Amino acid sequence: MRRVVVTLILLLFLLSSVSAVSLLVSPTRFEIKNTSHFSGKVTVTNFGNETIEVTIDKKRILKDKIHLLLVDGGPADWIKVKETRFALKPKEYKDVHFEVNVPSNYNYRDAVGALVIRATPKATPQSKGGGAQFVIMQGAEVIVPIVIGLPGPIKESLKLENFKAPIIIITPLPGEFKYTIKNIGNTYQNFTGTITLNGWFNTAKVNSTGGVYPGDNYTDVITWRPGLWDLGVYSADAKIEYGRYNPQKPIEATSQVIVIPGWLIVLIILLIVLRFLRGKKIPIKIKIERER
Amino acid sequence: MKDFLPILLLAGIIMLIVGMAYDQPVNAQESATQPLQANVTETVAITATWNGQENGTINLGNLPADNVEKEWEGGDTAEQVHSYSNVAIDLYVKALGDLANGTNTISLSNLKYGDYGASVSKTSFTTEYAKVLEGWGPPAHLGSLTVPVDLYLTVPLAARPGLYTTTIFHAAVQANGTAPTTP
Repeated sequence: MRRVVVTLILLLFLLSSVSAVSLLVSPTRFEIKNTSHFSGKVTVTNFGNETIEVTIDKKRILKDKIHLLLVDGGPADWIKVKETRFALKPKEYKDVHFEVNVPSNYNYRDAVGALVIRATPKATPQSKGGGAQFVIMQGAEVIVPIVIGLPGPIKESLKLENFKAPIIIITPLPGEFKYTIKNIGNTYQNFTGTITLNGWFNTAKVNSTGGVYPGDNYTDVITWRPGLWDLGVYSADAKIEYGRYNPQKPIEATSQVIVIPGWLIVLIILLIVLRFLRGKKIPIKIKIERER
Repeated sequence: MKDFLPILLLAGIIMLIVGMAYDQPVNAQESATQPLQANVTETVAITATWNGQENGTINLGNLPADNVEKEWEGGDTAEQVHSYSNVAIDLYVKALGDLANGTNTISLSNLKYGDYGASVSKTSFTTEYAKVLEGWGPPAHLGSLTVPVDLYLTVPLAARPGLYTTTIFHAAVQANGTAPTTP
């Protein structure tokens, strides 16, 4: 009987410490075209085994190769969500209705906002025993982009804000080339950035693609790993091609990078050590024992 | 025999009426067919498990304030992230803030993550979104994907005893979901 009671207490203890955060959202994105008003719904489901607290926030997305920023203002102000906070029991779902109203004075053709759906466990951590204890709560978020495309005249224009190349690359370590472009047009732009490396003996080409909304910056990082025989001074020529509707004049920039092979450094160190040892003329002692 | 004739006639009429009442049209014996269709929409579904359980709480237990980094290697007995999405996703990670016990705090930079099955290097949590997986999945039809998450924590010397907590978030967005599909 005592064993049963102990087992039940242990079971209750374990059950109280379990709180799942499993979040399912559908659809995963919205794309609104040629209209300034849109009504939609997103279904949020708790597919786990414990009750979750759900909060829904509306944000503007700033995204590039490195960053994902969810900020206020712009498209975030155009979205209205009817219910922003609720609880979901296991296997329960809820349809969340929202509206998008783009102001008539918006200058750009493209914009992107988002519904940020966040689930956190309902349970709160409790102190058990003494000492320094560490409990990390886990939450899940699903970001549902709302991509907005409006009618109007097209202006395609990107501007290079900066281009940074590493001064020295020591192989086999890679080098990172970073550039930031700003969209000064009024439409979303896809682009391809290509870095051509012209050296004494070799030529290499690396590229990357991205997309930037009007008014936003995009920072791209392109990694180049020189080969075994790459050596010397290389000119790094960046070329950014874009033009979603019509091909535009590419943006170009140039920098320089010095490639030093790691094996060459090791070889030089070995030669220096050898020369040092020879210079010291360390006598080699050979002891010959005669047989008696 | 003549006496039975009206009875036989009546019986015949009754049988005819009953037979007609129970008679089923030939086409009713065919099975009725109704086309049924459902459109499965695109879905993002993620969950995190600790110690093999769907667990919203990562209990790292009692730790000494010794300024030595402890590691919990991701896997079945520690932290994992699962995707049941039917589209490829980008996965980000962030935390709410410093580990706090009332007014006593331990810098968030002491809490680190790594690997994600993609050799993600050991990195401190921040309050900003940091990408850990790009174009992850989707899993096979009716399947799921799992990645291990390594966790590291350093408790500085002389940290006051007590329960320290913070919240970490795994955030998913459909891969390429923020870009317009067509001009």
